[in-house]
Amino acid sequence: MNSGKIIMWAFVAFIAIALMNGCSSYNSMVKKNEGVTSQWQQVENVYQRRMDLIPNLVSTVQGYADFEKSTLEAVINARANATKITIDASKLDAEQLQKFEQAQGSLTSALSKLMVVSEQYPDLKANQGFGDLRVELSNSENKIANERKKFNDVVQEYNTFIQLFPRNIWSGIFHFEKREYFKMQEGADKAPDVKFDFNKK
Amino acid sequence: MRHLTSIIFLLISFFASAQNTDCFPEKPSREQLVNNLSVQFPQFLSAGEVRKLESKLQEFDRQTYIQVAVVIVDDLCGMTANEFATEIGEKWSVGGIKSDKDKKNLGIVILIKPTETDGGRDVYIATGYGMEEYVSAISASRIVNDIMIPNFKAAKYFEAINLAADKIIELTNNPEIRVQEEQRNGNQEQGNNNEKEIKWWHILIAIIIVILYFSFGGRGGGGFTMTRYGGTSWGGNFGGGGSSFRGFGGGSFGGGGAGGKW
Repeated sequence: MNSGKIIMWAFVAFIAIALMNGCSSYNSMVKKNEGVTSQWQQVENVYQRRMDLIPNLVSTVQGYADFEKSTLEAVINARANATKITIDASKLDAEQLQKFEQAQGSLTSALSKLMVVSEQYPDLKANQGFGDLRVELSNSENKIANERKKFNDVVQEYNTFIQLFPRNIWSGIFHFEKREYFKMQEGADKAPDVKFDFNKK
Repeated sequence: MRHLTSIIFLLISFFASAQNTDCFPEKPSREQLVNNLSVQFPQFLSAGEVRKLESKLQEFDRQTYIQVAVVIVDDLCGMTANEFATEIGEKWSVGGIKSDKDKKNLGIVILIKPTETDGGRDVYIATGYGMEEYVSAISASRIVNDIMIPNFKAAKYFEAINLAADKIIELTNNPEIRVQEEQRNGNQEQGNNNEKEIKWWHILIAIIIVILYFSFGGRGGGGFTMTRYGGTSWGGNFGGGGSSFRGFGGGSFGGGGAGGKW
C-alpha cells in the first residue's frame, strides 16, 4: 500500500467518523430539544393549576363583605390577563417568555398581597376552606418553583450540549438554536410565604 | 469565545454543586426507608422503633410499590423544607420500582429536622408525582398539623411518624390503585419530531454513511457507539443484609406536599 492510498483511506475514515458523529449528535439534539418543550408544558400545567384555584379563592374571600376590594380586584384582573397569553411551546422566544413572566409575575404579587391582607381578617383566617386554599396555593407556588428550576436545568443541558465542540458544527448546520431561560428575579421564584427568617445564609 | 464562556459556566456549576454535596445527604449505600442522618439526635428513634417502622414501610412497598421514606436531618443546607424534601425524593429516586420501564413515581418523603437552628424544627411531607392524587397537599397538611406536630410536641416521636405512616397507608388504600402515568415527559419520547424536517441532503448523507459503513466491513464502526441520553436510574437492588427491600429507583418529585414547624 503506498502512502497516497493510506492518506486517502484516512481521509475517508475521517469523513465517515464525522458523519457518524453528526447523526448521533443530531438525534440527541432533537431529543433534548423535545425535552425542553415538554418540560415547558409541565411549567404551564403548574401555572394553570394555580389559576384554577383563583375562582374558589375569590368566592371564599368575597363572603367577607368588608374585605379590601382593590386587592381582590387586582387578583381577578391579573388572572384575566394571564389567561390571555398563549405560548407556542416549540418556539419559546425571549419576547414570549417575557410576556408570560410579566403576566404570571403580576398574578404572583397580587396573590401574595391578598395573602398578606388576609392576615388582618381573623374570621377569614379561621375559615377552614380558606386555610385549605392557602395550603393549595403555597403547594402551587412550590410546584411552580420546582418546574421552573427543572425547565432551566433542561435548557442549560440542551444549550451546553449544542454549543460544545464538535456538536456546535452540527447544531449550526441543522439550525438548532439556543433556548431561553427563565430569568431568576430576586425572590420571584419563591412562594408568597411571608417569612421573617433572618438567620438564613 | 462562546465555547470559553460555556466551559467557564460548566466549571462554575461544577464547583457550585461540589460545594453543595458537602451538606446535602447522598443516597445511603445501604438503602432503607427509615434514615436517621442526624448527628445531634442519633436516638430520635430507638433501634427497635426504627426496625418496626422499617418493616411496616417495606411491607407496604412490597404490596403497593409505594415507598414512604423517613429522613431525619440536622440541617436543610439553606433550602426550604419543601425544596430539601423534594430534592431528597428526586436525588434518591424514592418510589417503588417494578422494572426499568415501569416507574410509577409512587414516593413520599417525610422530612424531619429536629434541630432548632436555621429557622426552627421542621417537618415536611413531600409527595412524588404519582402520589399527588392520593395524598394531596391538604391531606399532607392535615397529617403534619393534626397528627405529627401534636405528637412531636409531646416528644412522642415514634407515634408521630407511625401514625402519619398509617394515615398515608389509609389514604392510598384504594382497591384499584391505577396510577395514571404522570405526564412527566423528561424521559419519554414524543412522536412529533416533525418540526425538524428531513431534507433531501440528509438522505444523501445517510446513503453515504451506509456505503462507507459497508465498505469498511463494519469494523470501522466500532468506535461510534451511540450514546444514550436518558433518565438516570439507580435501578440496582442493594438488598444484601437480610432485608428484602427492593431499593429506591422509581420516583420523581414535582414539589408537591405540605409541612409545618413545631
